[in-house]
This record gives sequence, C-alpha cells and structure tokens, in this order.
Amino acid sequence: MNLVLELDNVHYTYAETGQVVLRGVSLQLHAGQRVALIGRNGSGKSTLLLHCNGILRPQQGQIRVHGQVMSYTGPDIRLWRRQVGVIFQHADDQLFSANVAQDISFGLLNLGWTAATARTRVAEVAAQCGVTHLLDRPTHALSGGEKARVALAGVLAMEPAVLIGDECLAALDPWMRQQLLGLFTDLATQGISILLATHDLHLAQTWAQRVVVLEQGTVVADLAAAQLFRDPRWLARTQLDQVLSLDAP
Amino acid sequence: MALLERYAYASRLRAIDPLQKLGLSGTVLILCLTSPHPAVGGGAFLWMIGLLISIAGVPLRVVVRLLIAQGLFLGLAVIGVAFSVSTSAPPAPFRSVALGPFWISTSPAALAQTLLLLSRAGGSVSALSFLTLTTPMVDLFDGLRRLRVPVLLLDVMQTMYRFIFLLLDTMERMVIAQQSRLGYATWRTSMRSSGIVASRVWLDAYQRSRRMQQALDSRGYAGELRVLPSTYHHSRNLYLLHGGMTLSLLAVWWWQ
Repeated sequence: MNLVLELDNVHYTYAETGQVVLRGVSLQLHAGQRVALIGRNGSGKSTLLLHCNGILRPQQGQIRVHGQVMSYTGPDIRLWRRQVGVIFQHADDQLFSANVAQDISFGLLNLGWTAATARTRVAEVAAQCGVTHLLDRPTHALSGGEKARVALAGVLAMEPAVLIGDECLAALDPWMRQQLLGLFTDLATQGISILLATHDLHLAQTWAQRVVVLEQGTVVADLAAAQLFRDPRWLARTQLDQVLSLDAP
Repeated sequence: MALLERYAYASRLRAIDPLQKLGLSGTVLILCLTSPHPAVGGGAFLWMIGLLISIAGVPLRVVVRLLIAQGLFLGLAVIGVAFSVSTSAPPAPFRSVALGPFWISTSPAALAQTLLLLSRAGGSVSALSFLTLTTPMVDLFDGLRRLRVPVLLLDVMQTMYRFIFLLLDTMERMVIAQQSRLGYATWRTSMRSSGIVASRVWLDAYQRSRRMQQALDSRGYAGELRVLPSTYHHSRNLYLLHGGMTLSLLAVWWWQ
C-alpha cells in the first residue's frame, strides 16, 4: 500500500505552559487504512492530529506527505491542507459561514476553484454526506448530527487523501455515528486513509484495522486491532486491561 | 433574533436579490429622515407594513408583536421630548399640570416635534423591519459584498453573527447549570451568577475563536472568508411597487 502520511520522531512542547506533549512520535498512514488513535485525556492525541495538517509545527522531527517533506508556507501548505483534512471535535468550531453551502465551499475557494466548479463539487459532496436538503439552511439552525455531516462535507469537498477526525463522533447518537462510520469505511475503500482519535474502545476494536495507543506523548502500541485487543500482554502493556474485559465482544 | 431569521427564510421575497430589497428600504429610510412632514413617515410606515403582510407573507401577529416591542422603545424615548418637568408653572403657550411640587408641561411645538420624531422613527424602523423579515443575514452579507464593502469588515460581521448564536447557546447552558444549583434563588445570588456567566462567556468566546482559527487554517484560510455567492432574481412587481411607493410619498411631501 502507498505511504500517504508519515510523522517521524515528532516532538512538541507548548510554549505558553512549557508542557511537553509529544515525545518522539512516529506514525505512518497508508492509503485506504482505517486507524484508531486512542489514549487518555491529555495524552497528546489532539496535538498530534494538529501536526498532521500543518497547523502545529514540530520543534523536532519531520512530517512527510506522499514521501515529501512539506514546507509551512506558500503552495506547499495549500497542497498539504488539501491532502490532509481534519474534522474537529466540536463541529461548531468548524462551521463559521452563515449557511451550509457557503461553509462547504470555503476550502474549495481557498484552493482557487471557480464559483461554478465549486458549486458542482458542493452539490456532489452534499449528496455523498446526505446534506443536500440542508444546503440553504443557516449553520446555527442544524442539529448536532447535521453539523457533524456538514463539517465532514466541508473537509471532503477538498478531496483529501487522508481524513483525520478528532473525537468527531463523540457527541453523536449511535445511529448517526453508525452512518458516519459507514461513510468512513466507504471512503477508505476508495483509498482515503482515515485516522480517528477516539475514546470508544468498541469502535477501535470493531471498525479500525489498526490501533495506535498514545501515552504521555509517546506511541506505546501501533498494531492490528485484532492483535491488540486479543493479546493479554499488549493489553497489560497499554493498560487497556484495566478498562476492557477480555471476555467483552 | 433566531425568530426574525426564521421569518426571513420563510418570506415570499426570500429569493429576490437583496440589493433590490436594500434599495427599497434605503429609499424609505432616506425619505423618512429627510422629510420635515410627519405624514411622509406615517405613509412610509403604512406602505412597509402593507408590503410585509400582503407581499412578503409575514403573519399579521408577528408584525404586530414586532411593532409593539419597537413602539414601547419609541414611546419611552419620546416622553422626554413631549413633556418637561419644572418646579414652577411655565408661561404660555405651555400647558401644564401640577403634580405635588412639580409642574409637568408640554407645548404645541413640543408635541409637533414629538409627532415628527415618532413618524420618522416609525417609518425608518418599519423599513428596517421589512429588510430583516424578508432577507436572511447570509443574503445581506452577499449584497454588501457586491456593494464592495471592505472584505475585512464583512468577515468580522460574519464571524460576529456566527458567534452570537454560539455564545447564546453557551450562556443558556451555563444559566441552566447555575439554576440547577440555586444560582438564581435570591437577588444576591442572581447578581453573582450573572457576573460569572458574563466572564465565562467571554473566556469561552476567546477559546472558541482560537479553535475556529485552527479549523479555518486547516481548510486553507488565507486572510479572507471566501464563500460561494448565492443566486437571486429580480422582481418586476416589487420594482413597480417601489416606484409607486416613492412617488406617493413624494406627493405627500409636496402636498404638505
């Protein structure tokens, strides 16, 4: 499988607090992979994800997209943000436009698309995410599930090679969550890599092909979901045995 | 505010170019503010309310409720113009009433001034109500963009508009949380709780703005909130009504 995104020995410390958040994280994402990123609160998941899209810059280490080290300025950063899309934890933070169609078009117009081509792409991606009937609706009048789908549409519109979700399913009802997971699976079969940060171990166990466990800014496990959840040694090493019964489905 | 937006989206004039509606409201506003005759403001008021109910399809009860709210503000504002309070009886042409040691008085000139003020304000407010009840904010932003209003100003307006709803939502949740722990049980605790909410909402706005900046950056934000322009059509009938209304108000002005 093609290597799409690669983080190599990434270190990050927040300047304001001096808190060391990432300590030499290395991670590789291949085309079409479904990966779950799990870890306790404060383990560095969100910080790691912000590095994947070039929003945060590592103090040490490198990030490569399609094998190329990306620059944080000029056309490189535009290409990077097109290739790696991020869905944030709170959809409200992501929706800033007065209506849905405008919000979905935002990234496309930033990429230099014309209004006509952007309009066509907005219609396509709205249909894919099931939000066509909401296009004219103000973003503040959407339900939580609708906001999540619109946020996803806004990112998918840019045709990313990697889709990153920062606990983006946490606030959704099980039906909506299932729908979005189905959509993520479809996207993965089309070759888009999906990296989801989550606290939902059942999701990590059943949906993800691979699970990465982050602990205090370090990757303590990166292996197939089936292996992690079935091997008592890995469960003990990642302390998942404290929260997960071996008998659970 | 959300209620006004709801009617704006449901309005029969929703699909009409916002600049056409802006032009109509602007004409009324200019006529009301420049005419020295109360009849012009009164006529404009009747025109706007008539258009809102018959053409835009806004329910009468909504218009009445809105007018009552606006009328209360206006009424309170003009009391000071119509009446004055003194400790001695004012001379003619003032008419006065003694109220204990005070004299409350008015004069024909003050009443005429009040009437002009009321008609100007009433006509202007009805013109703005016409705009807000037929044009959602998203269309107004679009119209202003086409009028070449500076992009920075529009971006700030758009972000503020979005934040109004986000912060109202946050405030509502905080107040409910405080109520559940007797935060508003007495006047004293109410004051304290309100103060806490005000400061927390400010902090929340700050944190949200940081997260929103990250979300914008992740989609290639380069200093301008670029969004798709909407498509509208122009209404010939509304142009005719616009012309008829302007002519009738100018005729009233001339006749006065």
